Amino acid sequence: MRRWGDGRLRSSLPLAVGVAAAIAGAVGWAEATRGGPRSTARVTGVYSPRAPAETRAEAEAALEQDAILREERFLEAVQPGRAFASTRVGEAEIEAGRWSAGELFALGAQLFHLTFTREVGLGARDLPPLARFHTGRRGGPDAFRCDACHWRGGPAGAGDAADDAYLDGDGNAQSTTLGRNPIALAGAGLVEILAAEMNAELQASRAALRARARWKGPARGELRAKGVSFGQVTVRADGTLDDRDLAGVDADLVIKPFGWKGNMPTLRDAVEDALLIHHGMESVHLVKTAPRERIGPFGGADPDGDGVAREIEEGQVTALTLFVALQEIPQVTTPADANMIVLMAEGRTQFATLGCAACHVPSLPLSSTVFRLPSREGGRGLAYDLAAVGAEPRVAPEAQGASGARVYLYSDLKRHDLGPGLAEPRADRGVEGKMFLTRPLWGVARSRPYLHDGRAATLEDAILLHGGEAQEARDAYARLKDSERAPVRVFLTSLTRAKRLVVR
Amino acid sequence: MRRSLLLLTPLLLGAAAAIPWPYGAPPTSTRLAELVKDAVVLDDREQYEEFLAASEKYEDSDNLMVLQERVDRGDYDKPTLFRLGDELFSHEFNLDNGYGDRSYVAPRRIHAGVRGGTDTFSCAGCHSVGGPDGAGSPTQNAFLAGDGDRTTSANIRNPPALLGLGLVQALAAEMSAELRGQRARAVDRARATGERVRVELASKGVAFGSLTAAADGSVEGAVEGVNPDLVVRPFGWKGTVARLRRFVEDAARVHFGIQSSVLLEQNHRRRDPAHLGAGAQWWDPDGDGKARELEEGLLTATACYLAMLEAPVILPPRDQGLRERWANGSRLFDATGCSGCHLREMPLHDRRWHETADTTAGDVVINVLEDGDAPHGPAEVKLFSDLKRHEMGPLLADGHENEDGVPRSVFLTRPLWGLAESAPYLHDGRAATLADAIGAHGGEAARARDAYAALSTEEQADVQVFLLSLTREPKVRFAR
Repeated sequence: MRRWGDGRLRSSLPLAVGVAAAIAGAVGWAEATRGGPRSTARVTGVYSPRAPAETRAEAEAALEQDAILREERFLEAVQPGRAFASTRVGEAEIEAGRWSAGELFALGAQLFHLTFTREVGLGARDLPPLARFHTGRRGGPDAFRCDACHWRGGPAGAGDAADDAYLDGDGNAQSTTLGRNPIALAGAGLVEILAAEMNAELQASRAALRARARWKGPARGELRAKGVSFGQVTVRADGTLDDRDLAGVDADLVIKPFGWKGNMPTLRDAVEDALLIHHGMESVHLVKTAPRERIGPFGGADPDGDGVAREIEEGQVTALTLFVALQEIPQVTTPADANMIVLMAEGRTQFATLGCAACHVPSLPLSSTVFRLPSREGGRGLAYDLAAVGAEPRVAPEAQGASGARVYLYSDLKRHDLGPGLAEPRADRGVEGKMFLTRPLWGVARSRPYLHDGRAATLEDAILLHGGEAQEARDAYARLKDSERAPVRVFLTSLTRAKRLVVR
Repeated sequence: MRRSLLLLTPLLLGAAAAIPWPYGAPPTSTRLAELVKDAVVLDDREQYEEFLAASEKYEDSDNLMVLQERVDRGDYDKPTLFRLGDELFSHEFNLDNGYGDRSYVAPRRIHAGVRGGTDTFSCAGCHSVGGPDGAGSPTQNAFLAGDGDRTTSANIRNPPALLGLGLVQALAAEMSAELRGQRARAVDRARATGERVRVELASKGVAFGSLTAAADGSVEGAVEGVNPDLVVRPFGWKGTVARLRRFVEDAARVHFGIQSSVLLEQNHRRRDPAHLGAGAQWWDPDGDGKARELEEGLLTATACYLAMLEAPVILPPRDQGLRERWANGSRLFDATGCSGCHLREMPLHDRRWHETADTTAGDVVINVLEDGDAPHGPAEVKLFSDLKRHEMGPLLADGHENEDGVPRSVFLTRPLWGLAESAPYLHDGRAATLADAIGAHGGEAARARDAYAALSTEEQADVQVFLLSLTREPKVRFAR
């Protein structure tokens, strides 16, 4: 391990603390933090979720953060590992309430935007230093930073086609991999809440069928969640499930809303997996629980054998997960031109009449806007109301004082067969080659190119490449004259993110 | 003497004073208003164009149909050429534009021979690091001249940042002219005197070897760091392209399968299936039914746009202690010999750049110190390169030969200006940190690398502090 600074470097810490104190005040959401010892983690102020009302103030805030980032970059040269150390927050102190949501968001943002180096655990002894195509479930590493591939459309945005991740290959040939275009992370916390509520509904239906089956014999019924049908199941008298007619969800009735194929149940899983496969940064949790096919053959506390143990602490996983979960909610941008507004409105209607909205369900109701992150260390876990904390703009409660909200996601969070054109030659983590989760379309215009491997340059191409269960809607669109198609494209183009001034 | 990291006391006195503004003070309200206005104007335009493209099936016809004849006629002033180039840079090429050569398939990251990918849809797709027209992340690496599938079959190239290229292009052209002048004078004198004349080739303080002219006008010798034609080619990691329009043309071809009208006319004169495809019609060698996929006028506009982009700047740290370390790092950058190749600056004599057309007599004259985006930087261009090729040793060598014939371990001295915003480093983006990048140097740079390695840890950090001051002007824009 490298020496982290000497006497003169320590003398620079008051500067950092001074800046951090000033920034933390501006970043923290109106939530009191409890007293008590904190680790060396600190908010550097290089990222803030504030959205000042006035453009000039927003510009000044962005430039201010840029100024701090530049100075922090110099300090990192003098004190290597400083940026990473600033994110090293303990799970216990988080769960003890010593960090506000805003501070945790900022720590997660710092982690999202820093460069992983070999000194802090980048890569693995038995993998190349940088590989474009992944080696099995171990991954690349293929990037040094999260924001290398999540940049388009704003912070924590989408990735270009060139940024595609190539999963589960032989480490050398593209043809052995599964291409995945990086998705924008805006609204991700709400997606997880939606899925959790749907899971509860599905499981309650199953429980009801089980109860019926116990005294009436085999019970058959439809499984629905938030109005979305997941097919029919039969519960046998012995309580087992006949899931032949189950559709769009695994037999465990757990919707996995993350990943193009819908194979990661929670943001924490997604974040932890991304750190592992893209950077070789292994969380203590994965080191404890994951098989060697994922984390490497060397065993012990350093299964990837790179000489660094405890690469990612549980608290860092929490901070990064919260950074993603507390992202802003996508917005609709209304065009300035009056004729264009008419097209947009027409397009919204057509989107339904053509059948697109059957899977890209425009909105889903949310009973609660509280995002929960259960503790994996036996603690109380965390809960944040996304209507009250998180990056702006936030989800708006449906009614004053009510706890629910309507979320304009444009997805049913269900897997569908998209036909042979988009099908991959093999399954991805148990999900058949032709099956994909209905991609939420909120913010879609800020996430070009489109489709799971970024093959579609335009929204039109993306629509026309649909098949399988979407074939009919696709054909309905294809039958239209171009002037009739235009409204749909204009409508989709209005699904964006809030404008945000950035420096980089 | 050990320097201490001094602290400015005002830094501890509250938020406003604690911000280490790169210029020592927050931007003035005039400056802020200017920056905001630029961002708003650009965003409004982009949003308008975005909806327009959606309603008109992405034809963007006005923006793509830039005929060279109209450029020659003066239909577009320089701000318009800049805007057209800017729009082309972020344009997502699609089938209607002539993207690729077949129906859509998933992007092919490994190029198939010199035909290329296709691996992305827009220039902006791979220049996202550090701001607009920036560098590329390692995921955005291009994999050149491979077998279409395996990484090991290709030469890997990390997208460099595109700032200041107008100055680089002009500097290189002056160097070429000077070197060729030296050769011409040697030949003239040899002819006149009937004796062999030896001449040391040098331009802007950079030595390029020597050559000897014989009385019959023939030359021989040991030219170094440049092709025997003495044309300094400053673009590409191996220094293989002299003009921005050629670079744009080649990038559009290999990354999007978009073929310029100039290439088609060349194909008319002599078929070039290796680079363009073997289609039956000379005007559509990639056989996708689209001819003139990139008008020459757009090549001109985009070359002008790139030549008019801002130049990088040097912004040292604000903290007094860091300042001292920066100054020491700057001194060590010379003392270790880094600046032997990463030459701090070069004088530009003629600020006028002639963007001459390929198929017409057209000529757009750009003042590379004034036209386009500020800052432009002084005529003493702080490039940190000698624009010369060097042997870099086996560790950095490409896996494969290339069609330009530049040996595998030979690279152009990468200009270091703007470096802080262009991580990761080296031609294949392998170096996450400056320490990794410096450590990977070899060949002609081995001595400087060893001198750096012999420095104390603090001194090495000082050099890095200095290097990180090579950056770009802070500006705001609306994220897109």
